[in-house]
Amino acid sequence: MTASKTNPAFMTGVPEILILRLLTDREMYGYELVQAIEAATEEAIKLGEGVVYPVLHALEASGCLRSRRKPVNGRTRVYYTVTAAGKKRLATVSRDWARITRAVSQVLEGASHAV
Amino acid sequence: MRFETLRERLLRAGVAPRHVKRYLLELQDHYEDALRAELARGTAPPEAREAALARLGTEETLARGMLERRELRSRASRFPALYFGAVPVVAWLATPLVIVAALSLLPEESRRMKPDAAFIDALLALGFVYTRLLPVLLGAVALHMAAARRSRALWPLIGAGAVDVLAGTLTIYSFPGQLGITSWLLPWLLPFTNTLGPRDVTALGEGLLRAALLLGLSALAHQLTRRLGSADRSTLTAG
Repeated sequence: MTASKTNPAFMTGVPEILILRLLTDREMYGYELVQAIEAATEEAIKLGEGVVYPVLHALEASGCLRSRRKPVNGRTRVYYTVTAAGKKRLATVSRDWARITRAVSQVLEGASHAV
Repeated sequence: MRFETLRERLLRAGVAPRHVKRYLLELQDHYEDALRAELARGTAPPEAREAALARLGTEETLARGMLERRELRSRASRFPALYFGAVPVVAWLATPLVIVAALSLLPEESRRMKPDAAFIDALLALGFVYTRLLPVLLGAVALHMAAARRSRALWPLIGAGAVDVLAGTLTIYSFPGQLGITSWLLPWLLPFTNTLGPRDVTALGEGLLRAALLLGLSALAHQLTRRLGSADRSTLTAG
């Protein structure tokens, strides 16, 4: 199982972007969110599934997410949704992400031309 | 409980109890969803359980995820002297100020009325609550909060002990139309003046004994709530 997980060295900040983006569309609980991440990334990104919760808690603590408990089939699930502050944060991190990936791509392309 | 060792590790590291509690509930739910999915795929139950746990991540990964985020740490665990030592004393000292402030909001006519016997009795009862019940409650709450955060009992004992000494050495009494209050401790703390009353060793000794009793009652109340809490948890686990 661990072998199929995405290289953690590339993952700093990625769960945060994915979570904010996916929760912008609709509220979800943790398990649902992990499934949504795998589906949206066509399983290119596979996380240790438990790691989404610390990210969710931290985003909530910083005011980017709001949570509510909702009874579903006799169980109480914690649903998360993005706040206005979370949308702003998503816009910022998306811009940063685009800038960095562009820069890395340029370096990689430059290197391949040099070869 | 499946994640009991994880719970202890996180609490001892100072993660706020509310985050730990919710994290474990979410992990438990997640595990059950993953197990159901594995079983639906036709995996045999023992392998399905193993796969569901592996999907969550190792205990090390699960712990690290929480520990790396300092914003999830409890402030009380970071500053135990302030939260468990100083806050009970400040709360106890501030209570009469809050009551006086609330009384000052009463209409002026009712404030000017001469206090009758029933009013004096009510104040006497309030004094009993303030000097004998509130210290026990504050001590029990401080001990309970420290235990929930797996903090040492030292600071709550110091905080509660200070409140108990201040409260235990106070005597509130009434005489017709008036209420009196005496501290048997203050004259010893400020020896250069006699305006605070006599230095009575016997009364001070009685006050300190009362303080020890109040502290004992706080510890007892804390132990009782702890036992009730663990009984509740065992019932839930058994269920």
